[in-house]
Amino acid sequence: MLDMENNDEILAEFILETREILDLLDGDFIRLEQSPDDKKLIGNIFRALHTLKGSSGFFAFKRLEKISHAGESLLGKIRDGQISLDPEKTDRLLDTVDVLRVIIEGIEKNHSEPLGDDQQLIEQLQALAKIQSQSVQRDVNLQKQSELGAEVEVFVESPSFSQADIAIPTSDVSISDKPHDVSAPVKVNLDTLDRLMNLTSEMVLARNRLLPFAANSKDLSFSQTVRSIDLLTLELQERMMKMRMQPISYVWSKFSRLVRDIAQECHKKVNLIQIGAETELDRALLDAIRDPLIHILRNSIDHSIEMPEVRKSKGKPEIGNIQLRAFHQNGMVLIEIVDDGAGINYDGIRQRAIERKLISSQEAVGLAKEVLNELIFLPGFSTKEKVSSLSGRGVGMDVVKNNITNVGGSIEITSEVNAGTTIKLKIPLTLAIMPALLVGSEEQTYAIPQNRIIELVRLDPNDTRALFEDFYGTPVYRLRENLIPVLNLSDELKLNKVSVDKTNSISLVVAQSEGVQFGIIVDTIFNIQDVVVKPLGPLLNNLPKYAGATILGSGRVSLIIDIDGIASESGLIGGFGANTITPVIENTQIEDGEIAMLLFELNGLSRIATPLDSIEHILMLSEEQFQENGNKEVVYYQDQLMHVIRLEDYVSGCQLNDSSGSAVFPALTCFINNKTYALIVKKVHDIIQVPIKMYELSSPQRGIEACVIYKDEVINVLDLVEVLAMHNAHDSTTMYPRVIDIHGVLD
Amino acid sequence: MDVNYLTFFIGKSQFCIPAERIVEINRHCDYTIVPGAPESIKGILNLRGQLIVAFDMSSLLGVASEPSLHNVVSILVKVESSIISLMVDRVGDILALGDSTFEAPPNNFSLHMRNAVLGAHKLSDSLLIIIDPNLFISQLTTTASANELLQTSF
Repeated sequence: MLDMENNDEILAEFILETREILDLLDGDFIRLEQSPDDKKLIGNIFRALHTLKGSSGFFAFKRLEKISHAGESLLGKIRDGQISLDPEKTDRLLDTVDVLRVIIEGIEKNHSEPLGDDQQLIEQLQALAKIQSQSVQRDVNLQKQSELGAEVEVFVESPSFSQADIAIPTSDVSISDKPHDVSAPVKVNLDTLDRLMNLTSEMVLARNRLLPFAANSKDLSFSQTVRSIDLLTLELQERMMKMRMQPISYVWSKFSRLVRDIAQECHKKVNLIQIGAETELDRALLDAIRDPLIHILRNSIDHSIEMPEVRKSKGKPEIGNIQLRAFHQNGMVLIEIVDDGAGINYDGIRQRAIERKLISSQEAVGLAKEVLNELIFLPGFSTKEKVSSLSGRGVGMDVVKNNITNVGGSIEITSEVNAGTTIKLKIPLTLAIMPALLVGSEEQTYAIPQNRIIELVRLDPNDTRALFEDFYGTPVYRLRENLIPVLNLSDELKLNKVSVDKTNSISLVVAQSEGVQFGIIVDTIFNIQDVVVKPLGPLLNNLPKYAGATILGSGRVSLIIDIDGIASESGLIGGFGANTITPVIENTQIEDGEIAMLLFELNGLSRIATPLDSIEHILMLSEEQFQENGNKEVVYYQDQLMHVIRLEDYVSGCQLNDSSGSAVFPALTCFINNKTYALIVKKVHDIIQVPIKMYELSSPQRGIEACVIYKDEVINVLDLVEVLAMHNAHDSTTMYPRVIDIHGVLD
Repeated sequence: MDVNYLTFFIGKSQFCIPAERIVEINRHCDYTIVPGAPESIKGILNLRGQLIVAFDMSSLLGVASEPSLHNVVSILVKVESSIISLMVDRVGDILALGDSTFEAPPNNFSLHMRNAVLGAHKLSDSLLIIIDPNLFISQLTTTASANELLQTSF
């Protein structure tokens, strides 16, 4: 036994290697279940377990050693054809891998094996192995070993854990018969890599400065030297980029096990096909796409793939197929997740969209699939009635989309009823480098991420008067038939005005943030180039307008504009206008169905209701609790600042409260646009179920959206959006100093 | 034990920083302004591929600099795990000073300056103020996070 204190490094390596082995085993067992006769595969698994047993023995980890020994014995029998593999045995073997993993985690924490009794598992494994002979087959098939060049027997005595010594099960998850590459990789810290990357990009810049000298020089040998430096730098740069790349199988290898487990849980039969597992991506991106991919797979198995009986009746094979395919295209990595299940239930989506008042029933009929697909990505939009244990854990497709767009990617869904669903992810090759548009404003250069730009418009300065229109104080631009708000980059960044020269043309960068299109005025547009993104660091991390910085070819630093940050800082998004799809307020016949509403009373208006969904709590507040905040009334209640809205002030037909009434009022609280509002009412009556069908009011009434019929009585429905807008607009009309209200609606 | 200090000037005033922190001294650095950043942050510059935050020492210390020399010299110093740049008018000598001349700031020393000044050395004709970059870096990062907290609570 070794002195552990002095062998931390070896132990850490052991843990790392063991984890890799366990990850690969997961995938290998699944494949073994599909092709139980694959002798080579069995041989690989056998050797992996044998390696594990050997190294556990070396560290005197008794539990690890015993379990891997039991697993190895069973596999030995299978390999020798004495017994055959069935699902029960696969289950036990996968259990074995799980237990081994738990032990390894324990070892990592405490540097010693965690306590535990594995007798039951070992006995099960032994019982399964006990068919004919009791003797454990010890002699390893040397011929098979030499195929892989791995010397298992030697390793047991060797204290070194270099990869070359360890027999690794086949790691290429793709369907390829390429023999496994056994060259020894070196593990490098990501920080070291980043530093090397920095140096390399500096090297490139230095070379760029050197090139003009060579071009002008008459000294031939100097020019030749510069030429070779040029070539070497280029190659160095390419190699550096490659170093950060890892095959996508790094993430995929865990999926076979995952799919098997989910399918069993759903009582479905699913076969996972992985194509292009060798496709390489930046390591940071791989981590970013893992969760979205898992979610998509879960969705496919849980929702799309049908139960075996259903599939049979549809004339499909009982076993559903999910195909994962990755490949490079136009400098992006495309990942396709294709299933042959039931496809997306578009009627369900239409229904749900109508329920959520995103579209009207007439519109729904005509809506194209593409539009409906977009709806799936709205927060909280799920057509699944019951939340199952698998999908619908509060993580919806909106989160998937966010994760993908955060790394500069995009997602696209296509689906055919009964033919299946295809989800396409487009992921940039690397996070560290992205194409950006360089723009100039007041003699400063800024980079705007290209994937956020919709189009560029060049404007003739002589026409500027006519080009930007004044929307009562806010400049807007008429982009074809649409009005888009316009921001001036130099105003947003509060740059010092330097250029008074207006003879040059100015340009408009049309971008989009949270579904809102807007234009950014810049002085000049330079070019689109790949920039290396660097974080601004902790000293400057509270500046939401920047996504980072980059070093330009000249060696100068240029800030990268964060489109979302600029949009929200300027108040363009985060207001009521931010809805990607504006709720339809015209209350023509809306689909049948019922909706829960809270019925309450205002001074002079005895029957008014608001959808229950919009209300968070009902509180009792007294006049003394109200406090002044500038010209607004606020309540500080349970650590929350709430804006008081006296509904009587905003709803037509109400008498203004003479405040001679009761000292305590019920208040309905609602949380909208990151603010909590307390709506003061006279009395709360009941929760009622009313038909969704609303009747438009003959003449629009202030603060009232429509009316519904409940037990032959007409009940007014509060227009909360209008009331809040009126409340927020109130500020600008008063004489008092304005409350700073960045996110408020300023219409 | 004497410690080496690098002295630098802003206008007529002399300050010093512990010399062991110094990475290098540059002249005429090309920095990029960061609109919206605190006033004492002059901008960011590129040091062999690393982004360095440049501090305007005249604004940070509240001392007027000579207009012709304003932010001409960049002293790159190591703080915690990163490197920052202190933009000053000019650099002076390196002095070796011991504990015997060191004085901590007086009790009524301004709170604002406590975030930059470690103490002073009594020279024969004046007091040499010691600047500790670590102090104002940690102060800046804490106010940054405090600001964030304030913004999210409303």
